[in-house]
Amino acid sequence: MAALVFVLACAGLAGLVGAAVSPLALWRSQRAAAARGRRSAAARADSAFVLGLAPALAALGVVGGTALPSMLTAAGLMADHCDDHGHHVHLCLVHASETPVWLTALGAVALTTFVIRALRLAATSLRRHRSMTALERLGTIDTRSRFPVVRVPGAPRLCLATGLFRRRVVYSASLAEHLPPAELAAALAHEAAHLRRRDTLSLGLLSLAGLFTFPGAAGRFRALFLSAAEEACDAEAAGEHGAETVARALVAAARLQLTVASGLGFTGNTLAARVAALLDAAAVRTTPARALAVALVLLAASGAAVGVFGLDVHHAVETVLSLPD
Amino acid sequence: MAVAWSLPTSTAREVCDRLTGRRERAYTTIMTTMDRLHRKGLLDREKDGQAWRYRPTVSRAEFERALADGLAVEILASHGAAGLAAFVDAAARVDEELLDQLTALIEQHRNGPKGKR
Repeated sequence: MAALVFVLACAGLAGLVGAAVSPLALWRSQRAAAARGRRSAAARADSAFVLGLAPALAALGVVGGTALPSMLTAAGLMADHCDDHGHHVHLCLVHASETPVWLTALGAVALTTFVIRALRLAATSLRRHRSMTALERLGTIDTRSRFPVVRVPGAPRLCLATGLFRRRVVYSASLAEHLPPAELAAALAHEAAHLRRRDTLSLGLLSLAGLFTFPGAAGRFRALFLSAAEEACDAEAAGEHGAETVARALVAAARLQLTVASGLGFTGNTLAARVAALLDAAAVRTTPARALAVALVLLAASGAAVGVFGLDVHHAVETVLSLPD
Repeated sequence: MAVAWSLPTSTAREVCDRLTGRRERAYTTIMTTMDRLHRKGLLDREKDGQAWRYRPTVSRAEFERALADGLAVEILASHGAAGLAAFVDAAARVDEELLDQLTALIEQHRNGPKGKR
């Protein structure tokens, strides 16, 4: 029972921290996205990625710090400090009796929401994985380039980068009938740039981190990241094939979407912004993606901070939770 | 369907005889499956003595194109989700007028400084 109450208290705490950090990170991320022109698209994508992870890192950091002392006590690695807790709320795996009821109730709601969202994410990912596998079975694979390229049958709809670890480009073979070779090569170069930058993995991590934010915020973080990442990949493709070729490929691909699938297309504002960025020579800057490296450093730093300041975080959280009394 | 495509016409027994090894299935399973494919419009059939003789109504290429189109729509609906980034975002709308404007903009740019705004 003590363990269950403790888990619920931690879940409540994660929910509180995630909810508090999400709006701040989203506001900062939108400001960073507005810095078009001052910062390269790759740098904006990096910011959007790191800020998208912030709610999850903060929630896990605070919960980790809070839970660490009693976990160590339960494991016999640290002396029981619970006798020092006479003056305020006490979060402990061993002695859970003083955990506030409102925090436990909040934790139950947060944990239920988390599990439902995680299951939905897993189901969606599995469904898409099955569709992609079935589609790729119909196609032919070309392994001559750094990333495998899969040509699939059907209307000229697809040109995408996929795979978290087995990275590959998948495109409709019929695109070759509608796009000049140079434009098709530019589109494929754009997708290869996504794979070099590991944007597919970044999107996967953002989806997981989104479980710690408001439901709407998760999609917004991904959209902000993807918008900047698309421009970064446009810039890389422009470096290989010329900005005008990439711009023409974008417009041609969008026009094809209108033709082959009524009601489908792309966001007008996003398309216009991407074409405008390509035609603005100053904006077409290629810089390496550092998002995953920065995220790894932050994760390591958070882990180290939890290890060093765990007891302080633990007491600070308990003090804050005591304030309502 | 693969066996049906490999023959001009086929009965459930003929399909069953051709499915060997890991693909082997009971005759009744094949019969039921072919009946379902007929109901879905993928196989046409006519009586041949006691049995039904089936003929594919679509070629393999047509079938794969249709299947691929259905899968592509499903996949594009998850643009931006974990592990997928498409060259075009198929989730929202864009109109012909905007595309014409952008094409004109690109042409202006190509024509050099005189053409620029």
